[in-house]
Amino acid sequence: MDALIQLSEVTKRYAAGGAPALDHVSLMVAPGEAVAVMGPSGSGKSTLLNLVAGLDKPTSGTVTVAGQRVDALSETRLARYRRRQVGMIFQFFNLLEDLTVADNVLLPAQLAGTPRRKARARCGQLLAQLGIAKYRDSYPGRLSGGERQRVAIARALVNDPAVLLADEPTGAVDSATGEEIGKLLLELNAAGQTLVLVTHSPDLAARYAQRTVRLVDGRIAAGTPSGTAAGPRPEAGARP
Amino acid sequence: MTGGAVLKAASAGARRRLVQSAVVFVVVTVAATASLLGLTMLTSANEAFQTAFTVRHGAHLAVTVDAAKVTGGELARTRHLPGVTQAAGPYPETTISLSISIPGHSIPAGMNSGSGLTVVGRASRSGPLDGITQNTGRWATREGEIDLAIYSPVRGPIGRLATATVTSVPGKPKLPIAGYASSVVQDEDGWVVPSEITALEKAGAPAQEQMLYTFRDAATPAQISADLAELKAALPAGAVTSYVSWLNTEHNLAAVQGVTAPFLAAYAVIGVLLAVVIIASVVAAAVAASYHRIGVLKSIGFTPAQVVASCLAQLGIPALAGAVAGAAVGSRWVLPMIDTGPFHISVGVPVWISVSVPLGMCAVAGLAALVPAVRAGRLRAVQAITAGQAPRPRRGHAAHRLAGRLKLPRPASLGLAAPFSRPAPALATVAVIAFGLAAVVLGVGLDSQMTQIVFSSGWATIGVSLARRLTLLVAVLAALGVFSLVLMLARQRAHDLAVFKALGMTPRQVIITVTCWIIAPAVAAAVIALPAGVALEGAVARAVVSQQASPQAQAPPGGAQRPRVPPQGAHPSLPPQGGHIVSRTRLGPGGRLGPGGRLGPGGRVGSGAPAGLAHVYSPGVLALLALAGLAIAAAGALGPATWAAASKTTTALHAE
Repeated sequence: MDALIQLSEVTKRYAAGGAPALDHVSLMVAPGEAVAVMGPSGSGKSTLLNLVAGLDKPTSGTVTVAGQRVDALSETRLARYRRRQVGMIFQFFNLLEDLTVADNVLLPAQLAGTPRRKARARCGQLLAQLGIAKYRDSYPGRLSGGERQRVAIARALVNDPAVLLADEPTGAVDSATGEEIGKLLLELNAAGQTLVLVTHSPDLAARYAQRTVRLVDGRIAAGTPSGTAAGPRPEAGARP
Repeated sequence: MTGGAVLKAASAGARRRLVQSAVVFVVVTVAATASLLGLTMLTSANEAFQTAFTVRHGAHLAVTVDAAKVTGGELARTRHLPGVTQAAGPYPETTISLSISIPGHSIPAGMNSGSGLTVVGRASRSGPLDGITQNTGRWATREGEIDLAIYSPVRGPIGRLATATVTSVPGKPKLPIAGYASSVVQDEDGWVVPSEITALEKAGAPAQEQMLYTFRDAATPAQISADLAELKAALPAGAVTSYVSWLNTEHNLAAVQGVTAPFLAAYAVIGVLLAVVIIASVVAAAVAASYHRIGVLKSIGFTPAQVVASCLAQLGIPALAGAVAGAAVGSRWVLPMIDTGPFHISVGVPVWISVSVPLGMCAVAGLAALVPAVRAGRLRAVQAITAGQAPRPRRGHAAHRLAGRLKLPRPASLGLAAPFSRPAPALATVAVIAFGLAAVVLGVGLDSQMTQIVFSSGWATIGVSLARRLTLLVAVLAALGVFSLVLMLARQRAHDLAVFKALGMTPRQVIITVTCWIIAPAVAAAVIALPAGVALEGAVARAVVSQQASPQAQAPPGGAQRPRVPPQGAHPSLPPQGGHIVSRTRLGPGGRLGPGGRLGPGGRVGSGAPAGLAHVYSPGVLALLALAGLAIAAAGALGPATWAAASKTTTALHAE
């Protein structure tokens, strides 16, 4: 099976001569797979996610997503790559407080030049699917943490990305809401959405990912499989 | 807690917030430079003349004598009169009519011809008295060319492109213009080599010669009259045909100072207001951005007063440095580059200006910082810490909804609505652009009217040049203000911009978004500044006209002894607005005033509003001016927009 995400010997240093945030990391993620990246603070989890998202570039090594060398793209092409291939969910939601829920969700589609009618239809579908349709004209400041994260998930999915990247998606919500968010991600993965999940929570990783990659001091810990899992979760109905 | 701790916290803060410190420094520097220049030019015009008079060995009296009535020996003896300290001459002199034409071009009426022009034969610009300043071009060194005085009513390009035809003599010889020059006494309209004079004399006209004198006592009109009387008594009757006193020139300069004072004052007020708005906004943004730090300082024991002192000192350091640098830059480098008059003499900056400008700018910066600093001092520690972290309540939802419905690219509509989310910086942006645009409107108006409302084309040139430089300075300050404000906003909104980028906004789209932040303020500024600028220009123009119409400007000291010759009298071919600043007293038989010396109807230059006052701003010009406001704003916004596009997304995203 071809990997959807492939990191080859990736090293990332933030300061020349300093300790690497990622040190010769190689990793493959198959289409439809759900991978949890775990590790203590400063282990390089968010750095790995940023490299896959094209928000940062490696010091050395290559990052390939959907057959595209992300590390070699210009800033403009990276922006286009993020629109089309990546959906991001953040711990603190990163919603735009000035915009309504619907406008937040629509924004990536508008940036991608999706026809207005099609974008609105997709937005409506996602809001309904995530149970937040009634908040479409509300502003994020009036929503609960769980509702905000649902809005963020809808926004991440509006362009049908190849990869959904989630950085501590339950880190800023209570445990019940975290459970809801986890289930939602599981459902998405079950529908074939490739998912890379950064989390501190072993429980979340065990329940919602098929494979866990453990990072320690910028390296993949011994015993962690860096290749793809044998296949998607049987119950997930993953894409081939 | 000692003052040392406050200072340490302040200096560390200033270093940490380098961009804000740099912005405060640059804004205060430019504002201090502008204030110093404005004040110096406003107060030192007379000093410039006195310096020029000394440096150029000015003559107290330039006397024209009828060469047929006086011998060389008699003229030579006047050098030794008791009151005379120095004399120069005789230089051959004649009066000509000149017409300038350029093939395929039209020269403005009133500048293309002149009659009764005094031309003196001088082999050299230098001499024992009345050294000539070469303003442009070169000195006429051979026959067949002429140097015109910059205050001469006729103008034309230097070189053989234009043809200056002497129409007052048969054969109408043509004299290419070698250059433009100035005399401190302003007795002449032009200079040629001495051997050229004969060819320019009218047939039958009396041969004339110019003598220049300085006297022991020549400070008052009465003393000049006595000096003249002494000269006339020493020469045959009727030998002195006309004269020009240095007091006339000084008086004319004072009049010009009066003419420039209204618009200098207008620019000074705009400049200072602009500086206040920029500094207040930058300081408020800096203090707001420091709330978290202020909370930490409070939590470790800073009192409210110490927080205020720390904030003020943090901004006071770059403000003080900027004020001192601005005063130094203005006096050492910028002022010497500005011609404060036709004599290329730069004036010194009075001590009181050197001291008061930096102090004043520091006071302005301190007052601007006081309100946000006091507010910061009153915050509770927890409030301050959370104010630096938690998202602030937003405004402008309606604007965002409305902009979202516009059929514009999303980056543009996001940028258009953004100012409504943060009204305070948006209003500051409106104010900054409005002040800058008002200055441009004023400058454009003065540019087109100066030649109409100032009574000498030469002085009008200086006035226009001054107005243009001041306009440029204020426009640069406004662009700098927009730059500072947009930069502060971009830093405040770095997180939102990072989210945009994470969602797929390209660098170019980020630039569009940030640049569009200033469109709504620029439109609002245009709505305010265009009528305000037009009204201001009208007020300044009226003030200029009333300055010229004032008794001080109308009649030089000494009243009838040195009456201002009406433009028609001196140059009949000129329209009233193209008059001549030099009052040349012509004496009739017996030394009495001739017809040209009396004020005729309409001879009161600038006694009423010029006819063109109301027609300076056509709709097309106003539209262009509105675009100029947008251009000033865009010029200021482009830098921060580029910075925002290039800034690191991950850092901002995780700066929760």
